[in-house]
Amino acid sequence: MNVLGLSFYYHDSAAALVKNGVLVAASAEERFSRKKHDSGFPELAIEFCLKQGGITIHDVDYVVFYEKPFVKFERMLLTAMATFPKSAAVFRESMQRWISDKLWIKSMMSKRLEVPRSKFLFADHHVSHAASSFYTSPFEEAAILTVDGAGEWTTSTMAVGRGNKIEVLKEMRFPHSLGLLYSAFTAYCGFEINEGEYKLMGMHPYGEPKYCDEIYKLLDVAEDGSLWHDMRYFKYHHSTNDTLSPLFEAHFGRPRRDPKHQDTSLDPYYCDMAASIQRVTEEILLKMITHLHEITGLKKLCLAGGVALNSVANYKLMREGPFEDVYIHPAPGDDGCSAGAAYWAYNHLLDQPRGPALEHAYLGSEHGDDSIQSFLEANDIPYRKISDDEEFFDFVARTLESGHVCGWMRGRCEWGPRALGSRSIIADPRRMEMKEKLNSKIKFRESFRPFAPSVIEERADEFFDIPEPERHWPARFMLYVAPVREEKRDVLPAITHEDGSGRLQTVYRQTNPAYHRIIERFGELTDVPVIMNTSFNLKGEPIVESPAHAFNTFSLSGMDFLFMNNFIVEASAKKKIAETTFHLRHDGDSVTQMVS
Amino acid sequence: MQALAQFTERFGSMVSRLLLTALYYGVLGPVALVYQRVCDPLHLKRRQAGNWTKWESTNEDVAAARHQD
Repeated sequence: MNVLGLSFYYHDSAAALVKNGVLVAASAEERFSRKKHDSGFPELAIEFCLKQGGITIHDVDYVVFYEKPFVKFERMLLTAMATFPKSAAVFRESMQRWISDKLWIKSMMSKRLEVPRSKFLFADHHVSHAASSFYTSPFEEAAILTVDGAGEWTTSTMAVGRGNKIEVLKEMRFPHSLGLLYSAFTAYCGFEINEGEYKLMGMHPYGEPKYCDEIYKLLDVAEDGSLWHDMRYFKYHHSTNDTLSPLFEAHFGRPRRDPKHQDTSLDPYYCDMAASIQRVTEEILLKMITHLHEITGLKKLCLAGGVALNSVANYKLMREGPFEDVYIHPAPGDDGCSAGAAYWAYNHLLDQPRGPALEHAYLGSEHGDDSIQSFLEANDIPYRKISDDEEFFDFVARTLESGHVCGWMRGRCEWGPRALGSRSIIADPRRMEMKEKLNSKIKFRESFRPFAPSVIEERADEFFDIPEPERHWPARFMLYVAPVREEKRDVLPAITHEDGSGRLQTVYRQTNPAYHRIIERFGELTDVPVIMNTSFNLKGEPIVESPAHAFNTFSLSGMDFLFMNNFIVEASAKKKIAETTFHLRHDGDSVTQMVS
Repeated sequence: MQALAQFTERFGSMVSRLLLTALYYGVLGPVALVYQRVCDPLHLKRRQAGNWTKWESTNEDVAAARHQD
């Protein structure tokens, strides 16, 4: 049975194919369309999934959309009524989008895919989140917590997964939302919403959590982790472009930061604010999971929703929370809902048995030697190839050891926002200057943003505070920020963040043998089996997908070498290739887009 | 031709904004004023005993899942 899951018309459109209970292909549309956070119909991602699955659209049994559009429409209408007359502009803007696109999703999908309407199913947004995590987890039964900005009405759920069924117990509803609270502070600190949340998280170690008490005055947090926002301080429920009311700024006594300072300034006040909202987020999540543990009595936890991308909080939940094991899907945001919707239909609705746990995130597209070679030759790009794998891996490890920054493209693209060694920029983490070099000459992004380490699983515990690393599934997908062991911080200065932490990825020989071997070889040369890994893109660009994207990004940045499979391209070969354009995105979503 | 298409798009957008504004104040407004007095769908009033609500599942079979609501 083939089930195609789709998510689109919000942000991060994606398609995923579940074939007889196995997730065989999944990709965000942005990888192909080259539009960051592309929200359009995921035509190219669908085409890829079908091709990868070896089927046509006519072989698909069901197409499942990740949410219930009419329920969200009801929320938009009732919110406009509840906030009348302040909501005139947001009503106009959102209705224009709904009338032109979102109300006609079923007929549009049917027309574009040429599939009968009876094959279309609609999952609830948060059930899609829950399913993405539970059905790909290794757990037979688990408690499930989903937390994001907003779905239809729901902003968080508590659920239980058993076998092939998910039972949702409770929900929290719009506008009371931990995700939207975090986004409000993202805007206050001068970053773009639905884009700058990573930056806020990256900034928090530079500050002290001095303002937690002041933040708690904006909301009620019950012992069960539920939130009630005092909406006098917020405007996202009735404004097109403002998350914060004037009362919010008056409460803190400082205006929101001008976004133009975000790239250069580490203003202590906003760093303290970032640290404070991070602390509050962690405390609320901890209360939520403690309550979830109390009401379910279960030992395993699956997390999903955009808030599960807060890898600092994830580690604390694992260390300080009541659950023995935590699992997070590699794409916990709305892109992952496409996989969740497909799994929910296959397992829960159609009562099919569960497939295997998801051991890796390499579910995207792949380019073979022929494709790479013909690209290089067609564009007269000088290259060489080391056909022997071991010799090639030795060359790469020695290149890293000598201080070069390299683009690395090999195997299937990663599913989710993290680069996990298929489309990565890699460097030597022992050299402090690498952080500055990568931020200023290669990624062109804020100097305070940290870089992640990839470590072979066998030796992860030696460098990071992560005992029994094989139990920590989120670390496979780079969803934990763990302390670097104190004695290793001087050894790994380029990946050790201000507070002594690192967002590590544990690399397994079974799931990515080439990447594992590079790190292992680097370890044999240096006694440090860790390399610096950041996504293969420029700031605001989607992660590269094809050889053309990789070469273009390589040419536009200060990288020294490009490795595509066993092909080696040196910096002297850089040139402009006109047809590989992309849209750099430096702005986030509008408030209307965020909530509708 | 491109200029005409751009003009048509902008004109259409302007007309739809005018109509939606009229709809907002003329139709939605009077209903909203009554609605605000009797309902609190956003839970804007402070709640005493936590803010979790019981999940009402209405999407448990294929027939229900075919619906967009």
